[in-house]
Amino acid sequence: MTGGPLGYPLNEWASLLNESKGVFNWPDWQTPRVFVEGKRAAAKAGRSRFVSHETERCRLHVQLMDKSGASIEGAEVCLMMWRYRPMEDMSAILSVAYEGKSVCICRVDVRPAAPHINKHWRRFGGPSEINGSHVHQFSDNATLGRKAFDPFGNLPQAVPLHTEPDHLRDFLQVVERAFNVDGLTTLHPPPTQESLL
Amino acid sequence: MTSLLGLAVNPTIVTPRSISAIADEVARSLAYSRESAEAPAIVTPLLYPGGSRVVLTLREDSGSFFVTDGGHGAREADMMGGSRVFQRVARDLAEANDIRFDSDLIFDIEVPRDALLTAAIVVANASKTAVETTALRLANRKIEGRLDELLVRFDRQFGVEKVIRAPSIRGATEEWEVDAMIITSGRSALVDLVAANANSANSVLAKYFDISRLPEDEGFRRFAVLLDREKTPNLSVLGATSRLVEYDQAVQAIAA
Repeated sequence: MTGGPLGYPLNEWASLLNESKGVFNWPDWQTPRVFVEGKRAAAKAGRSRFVSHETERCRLHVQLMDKSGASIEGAEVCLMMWRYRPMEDMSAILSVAYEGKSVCICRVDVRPAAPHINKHWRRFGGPSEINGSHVHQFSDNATLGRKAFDPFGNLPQAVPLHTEPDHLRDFLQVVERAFNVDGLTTLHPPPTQESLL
Repeated sequence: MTSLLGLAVNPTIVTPRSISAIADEVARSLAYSRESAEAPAIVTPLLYPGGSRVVLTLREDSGSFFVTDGGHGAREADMMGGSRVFQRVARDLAEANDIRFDSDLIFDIEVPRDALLTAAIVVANASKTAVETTALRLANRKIEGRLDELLVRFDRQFGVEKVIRAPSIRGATEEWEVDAMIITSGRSALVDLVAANANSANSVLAKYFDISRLPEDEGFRRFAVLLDREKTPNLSVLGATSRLVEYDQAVQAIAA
């Protein structure tokens, strides 16, 4: 694992991941607005606007604290799920602030819509394709170096979960273990709803 | 017995017939459909950055079809923190491909049965490309501040009216956006900033290669401005298509 001026501070991030952390704040879920084409632009293109709610997502940003109770600067967990597709395709991200940008250092994908491809399967000896829930572990991706944490790398290496989470609580427990964060299971559930159809 | 690649081969197992069967199995696994509660999903062989396969959803309405990326492209970009960048990119890509982007979906609508395969390929590729482009722009975001600073220096040296920001330049085969064009008495100068990563260097390389193939009298002087000369990869290849100049020497080099 490397760090220092030529790359990201991977050792610091490893320490952050390994230390016990807690939930600092009690945030609310957000439902970010999706992009909708403007009336004028649609009219100019000679078409009707297409309005759908199926892509609405719920997102929760959780600030973290260390054992002393102080918040950890720049570190947060983001939980993301579809508003109208509960218990489908849910993700959790542990990110840190670095040089003015947010860098995702570990991710959990539960019941994803599509298989994940481990293009570095030969190097890690694990499965080349994961057809189900999985964790993009920091330790594996750190061995790939800086590029694994850039947006184009986006944590390419993942390992499968042995058990598929059936309930939101199961998902949050997986996230607690993967990120070493206590208290996520006590957060308010998201305002997800059953299918629109 | 070994194969041409030097691998051990069991002739009783690998026969022309069985390798054909394997090839057929791989081909059929490259893309397949899945039932879901709302609409069938098509898992494609295309990958978003990070390794998730691009998935399409398919719906039928009055004999025509509606193909979408299910909003997965927007979601991937959202997880990178690139929602706003994605929206701009997806809108441009949709327009370029004669499909649509709205409500965070990249889609084609009212597709007849005989055009469905084409529509699915175009939507899947647009979704993948939109997320990749978003990732590249996010990776290069850091250099935007340096670019602003450099443009101010150009304005002072050459005059505001001579410095064109983000012009579109037609190369031999494609149209490209460069960071700036400086209109000078001889051939105008194109300027692109290069960050110390392969994506940035390769992106500048591709556009300058194409522009370098213009006829001499339509050509430009091309400058690749290096933010970090020591750490920039592929310098020798980049240097074959443009003049390399360090950030602090850019104004002098272009004025010379």
